[in-house]
Amino acid sequence: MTSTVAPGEQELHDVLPRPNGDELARQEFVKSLKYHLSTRIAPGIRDTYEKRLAPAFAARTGRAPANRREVRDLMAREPYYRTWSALERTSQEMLWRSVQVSIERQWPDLMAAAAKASRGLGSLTLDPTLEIPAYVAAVDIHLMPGGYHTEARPDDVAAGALYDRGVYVYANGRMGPRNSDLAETAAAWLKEAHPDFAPRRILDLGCTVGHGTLAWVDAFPHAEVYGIDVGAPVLRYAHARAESLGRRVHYSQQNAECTNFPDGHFDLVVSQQFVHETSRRALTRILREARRLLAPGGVMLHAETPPYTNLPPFDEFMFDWDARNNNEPFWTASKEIDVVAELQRAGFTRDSIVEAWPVSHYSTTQSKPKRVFKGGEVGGGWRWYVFGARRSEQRDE
Amino acid sequence: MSDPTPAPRLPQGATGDAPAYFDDRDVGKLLSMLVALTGEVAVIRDRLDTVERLLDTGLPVTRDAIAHYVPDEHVRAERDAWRQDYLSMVFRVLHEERARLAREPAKAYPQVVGDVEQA
Repeated sequence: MTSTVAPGEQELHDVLPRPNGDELARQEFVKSLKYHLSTRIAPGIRDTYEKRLAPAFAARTGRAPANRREVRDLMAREPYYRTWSALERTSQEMLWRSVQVSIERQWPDLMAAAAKASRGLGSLTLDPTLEIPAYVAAVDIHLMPGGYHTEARPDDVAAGALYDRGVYVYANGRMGPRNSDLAETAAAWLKEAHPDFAPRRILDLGCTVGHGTLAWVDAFPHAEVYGIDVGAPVLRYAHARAESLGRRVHYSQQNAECTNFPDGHFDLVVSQQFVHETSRRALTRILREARRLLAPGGVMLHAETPPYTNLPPFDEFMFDWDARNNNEPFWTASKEIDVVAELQRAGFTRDSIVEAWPVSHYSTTQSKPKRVFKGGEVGGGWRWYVFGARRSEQRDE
Repeated sequence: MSDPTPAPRLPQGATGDAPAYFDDRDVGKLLSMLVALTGEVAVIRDRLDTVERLLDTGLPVTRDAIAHYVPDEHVRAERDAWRQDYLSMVFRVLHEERARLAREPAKAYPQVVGDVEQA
């Protein structure tokens, strides 16, 4: 198969949809549009706020806007913001469509490639009876049509292909050639924090197509690595992708709130960009389940975009855009969780709980890192957020 | 005209209602169509660029050659730069609005807060 994915771009494997010339041009346009909106249009929003809206608010009330809700109320009628917002929404819709067109053309080929990808390294176990949780099925998260679970034909892998290529175009390559920056950053942080930690079994929760899972395989080559997700098409794709890239992973279709693994089965339980796509109640159950799965001394680590703590109201408002405009219903609440209290509720002890804001691994290992992610940079650099806990060495603490 | 087996399509559009960005929702639809059209013009422009580059090399310009042309890093960078200029042309009114805002006397916001706090 001839490729139009240039060297140095997204890593090729057997099930990655390859755009032809026009399809690549359409995806590149979306990439450029998003870049233009974030670097050339969005900065004007701050001007409208700081030069017009906030001073008028201060003159009226005698104080500055105190939180993102007050900023949002001011912004709601602001034409410049509304136009940017509509364009941003459109860019996200166009992103998925630009990848879908390419997948629709190669659909039978991708399914055939997935069917014969297995090299006997890892495994794939699907459960057609698994109920898709409401927080996954309620709306198509980040506007990806069909979400992670919809199958348009038997043995479908299209949702996986859409996510794999779509995330790459969305991030403009800033997550690395395997879209794996979060897991690589978390793994680098973990190795620095616990240099002697050598997990025998690793579980990746909500793994989708395995962007993070493969990074954990590479971080701990001697570990047995497992990935679970509720979506069958993304898991079929994940399995084919891992096999094609020569990585051994055991994927199974399970809900992270209640898995079929025995107590204490894992030394390391991880997730990337997963917490914000669950729900309030589900998260509590997921953290408890993760604790049950941890062996004594085991570590749980979740990687996300940073919470809103200590952000100025305007920045908080901009970071919160995805919640309402990009179908991320748990986004806001997930950024306001009292992590320490939540982990203690799940049974972890206070002194075992960690929070950290590690600098992006990919951005620090590139000679020409592509900066500026989402609403901007946080804390003077492009940082992710990891939180988690370590289970004590005693089985019954 | 006969096309008995139309190509299968993936789910069209995401579930979940879209926010209303303008008082008249039709304005939002029009804007979406305009940006989609802008994208299709960029697709044609990249295709033309491919044809010109194939002609430069003296290779046969066939539909297959166009479809399978792989832009190298240099070509991609040139196209990236072209697209930014192109988008600046398309979004001219927004850029001009932003420039007007930038020129506005900065009754600097921190100063306003300070004034108010002292008042």
